[in-house]
Amino acid sequence: MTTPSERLIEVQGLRHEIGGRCVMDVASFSAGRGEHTLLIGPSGSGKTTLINVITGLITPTAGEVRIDGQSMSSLPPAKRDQLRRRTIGVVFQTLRLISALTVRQNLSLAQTLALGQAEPKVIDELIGQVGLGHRADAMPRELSQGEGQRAAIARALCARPAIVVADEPTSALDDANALAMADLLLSTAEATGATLLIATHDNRLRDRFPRTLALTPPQVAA
Amino acid sequence: MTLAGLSLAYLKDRALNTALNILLLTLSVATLVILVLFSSQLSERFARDAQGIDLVVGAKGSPLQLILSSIYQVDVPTGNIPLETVDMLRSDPTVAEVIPLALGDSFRSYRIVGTESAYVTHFGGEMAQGRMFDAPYEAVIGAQVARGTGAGLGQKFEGSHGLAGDGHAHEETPFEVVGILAPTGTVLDRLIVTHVASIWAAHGFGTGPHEDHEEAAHDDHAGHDHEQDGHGHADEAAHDDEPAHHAAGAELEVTALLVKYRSSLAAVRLPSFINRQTQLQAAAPAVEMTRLLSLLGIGIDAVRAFAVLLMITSGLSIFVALYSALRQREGDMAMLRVMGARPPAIFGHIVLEGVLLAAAGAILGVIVGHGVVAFAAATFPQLQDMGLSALRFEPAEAVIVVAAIAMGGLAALVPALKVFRVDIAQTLADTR
Ligand SMILES: Nc1ncnc2c1ncn2[C@@H]1O[C@H](COP(=O)(O)OP(=O)(O)O)[C@@H](O)[C@H]1O
Ligand SMILES: [Mg+2]
Repeated sequence: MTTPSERLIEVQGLRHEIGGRCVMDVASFSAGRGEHTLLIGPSGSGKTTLINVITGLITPTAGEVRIDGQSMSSLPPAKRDQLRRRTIGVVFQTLRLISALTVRQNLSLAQTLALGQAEPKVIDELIGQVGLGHRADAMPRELSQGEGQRAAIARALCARPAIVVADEPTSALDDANALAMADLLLSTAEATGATLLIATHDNRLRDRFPRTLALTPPQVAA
Repeated sequence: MTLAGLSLAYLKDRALNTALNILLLTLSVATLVILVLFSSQLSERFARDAQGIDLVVGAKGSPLQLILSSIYQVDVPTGNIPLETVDMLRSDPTVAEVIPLALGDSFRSYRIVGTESAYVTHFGGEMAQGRMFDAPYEAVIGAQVARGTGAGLGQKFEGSHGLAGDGHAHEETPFEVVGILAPTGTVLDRLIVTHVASIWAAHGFGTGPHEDHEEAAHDDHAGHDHEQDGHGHADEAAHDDEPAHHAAGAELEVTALLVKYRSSLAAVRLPSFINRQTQLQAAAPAVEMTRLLSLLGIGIDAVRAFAVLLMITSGLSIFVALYSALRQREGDMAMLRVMGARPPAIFGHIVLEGVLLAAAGAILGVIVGHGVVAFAAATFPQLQDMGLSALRFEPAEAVIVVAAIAMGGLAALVPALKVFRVDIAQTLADTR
């Protein structure tokens, strides 16, 4: 049993409607410090919506999300941005590396935004850890798909967030790469002690995660 | 890497586009700066040469020509006027000072001005070497004349008739340099100044070179003793067919008079009084130069309009560059928001991109503008004569720089405002 302060993510009675249609419905979910959870469900089951609510990018129609004890959904926008900045790192399927910046600069910008300053030593260490030591000064367009994903993971982790969230990180990858990506996320999160939440419809990852939260499309469930 | 650093990185990422936009802006700002430097320095120079001169009296003709020839020494004179006009004006209680000028001769394209020592005093001329002239055929030369001709004290030279330096020489009447003036930054620098009696004598209306030394030494009465034995010098450039040129018994003449008022009453009365005289006209430098500058102004306005158009074009070009990158930028904006950047900070960093671009163009424009003026001044000595300097900065340049930078910010405004409207969840869901 985790204590309240160690429950980094807490979700209660969460519902989100778009145009009167319920697109996401999660009765309750929580994740403790350092726990790794796979959020699994078919396309359209509301995984991305849940992630956006957890990161404070959208406000749910009903229910509450607490991040590190603070109610993300009821905070004013500036505080929400601050909470996200300080506690959450995000990896997207489309990576969204800033194309005008090198790998190193992408990490440096993420650190500066989150911590107020860059820590070059941490960046170099992390880039080495994800196996991009030789590509640190490459532009994103010069990276292979696999290298890009490593860069995106390193960026999500570089400010040492308490929570790392990944949305469909493996969907476009073949089996070997998908598992390698999952393993990299798991090992780096392990190394920093971050709470990891991966949203996917990719059943190949099930074996890697002890904890899963299964989502079903709300209209089917209703 | 800060958001400001990201602004620079975006500019670097599309380097060719950035370079073109900076070039456009540089051209526009440089053109405006050149205009400012030319118009402010030249009009200041115009004002400096005309300072303290309230009225110019000369022969009838174009008043602008009278001002240009007698104050700025650039056009040909309108003709000559009787010497007694000097006395007539000096006896007027509203007139403080009258300086007579006899023009029309030159030496190697440097104009010779026959006048009184008051002319040199008026422009604040001080002797660098030698002394003031006090006899006919003694001359004092301006700093540029000394530099240009290499003439030193004691140098003899012969003036020639006409202003272009190709007229026939007055061979029997050599001038002698007795003084060299320190630079004044006025028209004086490029003149050869001598006693008015020298001019009369050179044209055969005085006695020979040194004979009337004593009379000529009295500046204020110069020429009075010549009235019965000669007449004035006429400028052939303006009056080639002057009938009475060498006729015996004719009066002595001068070309123009520089008049300073004692009281403002003179401004009301004197010009109209003079203009009623059949031979005379009066022209106010302030009025004529305002007219000239407004004429030049049409050309200046056209160039300025072109430069402003160029600046607007570069503003649009910056706008297009930022706006067309907006689709990709929306993804970056959403990611920056995910990484915790606040919308005003993201807005600021996009505006900064336009501002940095514009600032680079503006600063380069100022440098290029001054460079072109320096080049022009080095290539055309006349511009240097006019007092054009590339090393002076005008307040208007700051206005141009600020305007260019503001325009850069403005061009970035619409793309930057997008950050407040972008739907992050929607943008992030876009997998393209
Ligand atoms: N901005 C939106 N406008 C309309 N419908 C949306 C929007 N965002 C999500 N949905 C709908 O909500 C449902 C859940 O979407 P999403 O959370 O992206 O599911 P998942 O990530 O599990 O595929 C889908 O049916 C989707 O079409
Ligand atoms: Mg999804």
